[in-house]
Amino acid sequence: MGKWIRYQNPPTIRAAASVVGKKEHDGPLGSKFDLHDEKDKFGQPSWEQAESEMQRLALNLAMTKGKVTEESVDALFAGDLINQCTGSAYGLLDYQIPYFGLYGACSTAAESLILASMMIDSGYAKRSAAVTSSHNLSAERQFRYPVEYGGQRAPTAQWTVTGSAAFLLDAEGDGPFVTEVMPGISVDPGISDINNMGAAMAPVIAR
Amino acid sequence: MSKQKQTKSQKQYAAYAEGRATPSPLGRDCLKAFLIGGLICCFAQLLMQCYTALGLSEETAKPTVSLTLIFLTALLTGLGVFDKIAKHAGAGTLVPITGFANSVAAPAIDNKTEGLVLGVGAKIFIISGPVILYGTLASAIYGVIYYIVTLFRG
Repeated sequence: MGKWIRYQNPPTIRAAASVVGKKEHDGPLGSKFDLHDEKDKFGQPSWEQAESEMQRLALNLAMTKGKVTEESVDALFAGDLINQCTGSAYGLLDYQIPYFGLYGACSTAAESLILASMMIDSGYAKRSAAVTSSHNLSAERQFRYPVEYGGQRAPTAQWTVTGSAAFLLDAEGDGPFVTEVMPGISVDPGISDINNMGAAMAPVIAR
Repeated sequence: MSKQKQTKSQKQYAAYAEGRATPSPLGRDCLKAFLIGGLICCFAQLLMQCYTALGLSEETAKPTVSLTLIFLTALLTGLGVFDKIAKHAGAGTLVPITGFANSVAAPAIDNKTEGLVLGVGAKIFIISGPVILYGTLASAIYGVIYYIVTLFRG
């Protein structure tokens, strides 16, 4: 069973920013996202570089919104969906902030937020940032088929989001606060259909 | 996971998940594959007629038709149109030579950003590789069997 962790000094989410692709921008939540690119490339030559650029844009915007400089951020937790977290490592290369590369696939957003908030609760950091991203086409290339490959999708097949989000956490502030967290426990429900990841992931939540 | 035996609860969950998953619309998919695949074959037949009418012998016309289809598929793949047709056609575009041509052209385009040797060169057969490997192997085995049969026929 999962274990709750209740913070003594709940950190506040000082600012957040999101960057998405065209499909996400065209969707029902489209107007809620800060930035988007019609071509999903963000001015970059490859999809992988586009994913990096989304992270850079997201963190940059979150810091602008939160009116903080990079010198005042003590720790950076980031992850993406590319081999060896190159998306985060290259995307956030400009920032001189101690960096933790994470790989949690779909859980990277929550994972980075948990760790970034623990860092503040424990007193090791006054400010921390959590960044996550995935790019539909870099994920297609890495995990599925080449972009132009003509295949049919099963109705249960998932669609990887093109997007990046950044949270800026602060020891002091008026909220919203991160008060409790509960890390999940890995489960193998025995689903071997690669086109049905939803069924493979759902039991984790039920635990 | 695949090497271990599924536990009872895993089996139950798999059955539960399968029961709730939206199935592929088989009837509609088959019909579309039949129609589009048939259209491609009709087009190929038309090409065949044209080439023979232009004076090519049947033996030369056949590979010329295949080459035309391969060229058109590669072109449509490069223009980003092929996958949009194939999304509907399914086996209709996969089974004819078009599917094979696309499976070679698509990774070639995809891996261009990684360079000509380690990108395009190393990854061009990433999908068609198994077909080429086992196709070649099967043809070699077929050759041996054919040779043995001819020995007995004298």
